[in-house]
Amino acid sequence: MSMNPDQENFEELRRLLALKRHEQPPPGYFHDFSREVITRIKAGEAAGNAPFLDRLVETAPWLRRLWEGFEPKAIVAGAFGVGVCSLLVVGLISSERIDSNPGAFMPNTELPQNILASVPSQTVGSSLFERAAADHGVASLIATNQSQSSIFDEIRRPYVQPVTFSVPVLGN
Amino acid sequence: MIMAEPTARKVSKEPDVPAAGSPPPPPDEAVLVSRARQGDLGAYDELVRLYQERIYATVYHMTANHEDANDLAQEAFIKAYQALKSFKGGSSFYTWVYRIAVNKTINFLKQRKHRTHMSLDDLDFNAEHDPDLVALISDKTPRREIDLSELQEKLNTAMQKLSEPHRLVVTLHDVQGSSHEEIAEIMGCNIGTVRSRLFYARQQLQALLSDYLK
Repeated sequence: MSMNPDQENFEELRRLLALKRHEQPPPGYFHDFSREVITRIKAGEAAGNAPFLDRLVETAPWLRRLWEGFEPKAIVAGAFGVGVCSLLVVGLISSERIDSNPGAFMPNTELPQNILASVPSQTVGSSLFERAAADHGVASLIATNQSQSSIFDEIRRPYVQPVTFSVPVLGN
Repeated sequence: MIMAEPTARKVSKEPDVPAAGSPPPPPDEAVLVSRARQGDLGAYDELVRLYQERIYATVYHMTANHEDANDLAQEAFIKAYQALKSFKGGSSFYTWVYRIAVNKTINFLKQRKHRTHMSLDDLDFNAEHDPDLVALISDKTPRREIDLSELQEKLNTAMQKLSEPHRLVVTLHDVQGSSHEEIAEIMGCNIGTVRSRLFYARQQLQALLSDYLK
């Protein structure tokens, strides 16, 4: 790369930056620096037996700030605690609901006959299920379903709560 | 690519037979580190004395604040002592401590609120006779009436406008004279990244300090 004005300007910039080397701490500063470091190391070793909470707060300043924010405001601390407990309770309840009603999320591969029989033979909707039930009949649909292997065959059949529905008839 | 790790930094040349009455040369860094790992605080004190000025200078140029630089530099050495057992010797102790100090400083800068306090009294009187300064503040410089404190303030203000990695590269290379290879090892990046950051940082500073560079 040939010398160009930009590089020449960088040279002046570098000379300017080199002036920062003259920025020095107060005289005698480094005489005590290492001694202070060693003193703090020794103090740290002595404090190594401090309680766990004290050491935790020491290593996590944000925890100390949080605690100091709560100290003068007991109401805030109480509200924070109530909020955390509420979240925990909500989470537990939600997980129990999912565990107790898994069938709501599983496809129904075997429908009771009385439910399927209530489906009108007329093709009234555009859904594939309605058209198949109307054209092929329920038995064949079930047979079709049963003849085809499904990934759900290996899954233990969950409890299914029958759902009643009525298909509106169009064109009358 | 990461450069091959350098050998341990030697404090002095191989000792010749010392003249009568002269103090013995300081021991090798590796010896000091080994003793410090066994709990010899005297050995660690010597290590601190070896590198305290460079570590402090880097931190100071990053923070532009003497108090912060003091705290961070001390904490870096303290943390290095506490982590000595994990120092495997792959790089020099100097580079290892430097990395600790740099990481601490960058984390500190990211967390602190914007502070404009800068130590303007740190420019010692010798700078007035610095040939670079004389050449800079010459009849070629438009603002001939500038004084040292103003120049220092402008320079530090411009440096603080750089991002931490760019400021670090400029500090290590243009202020402290470190090589690209050394900087790459300290920052944990390749030399190409160092060069590109340095170029970008210089462009930024050039734009910020254009009044003082013409």
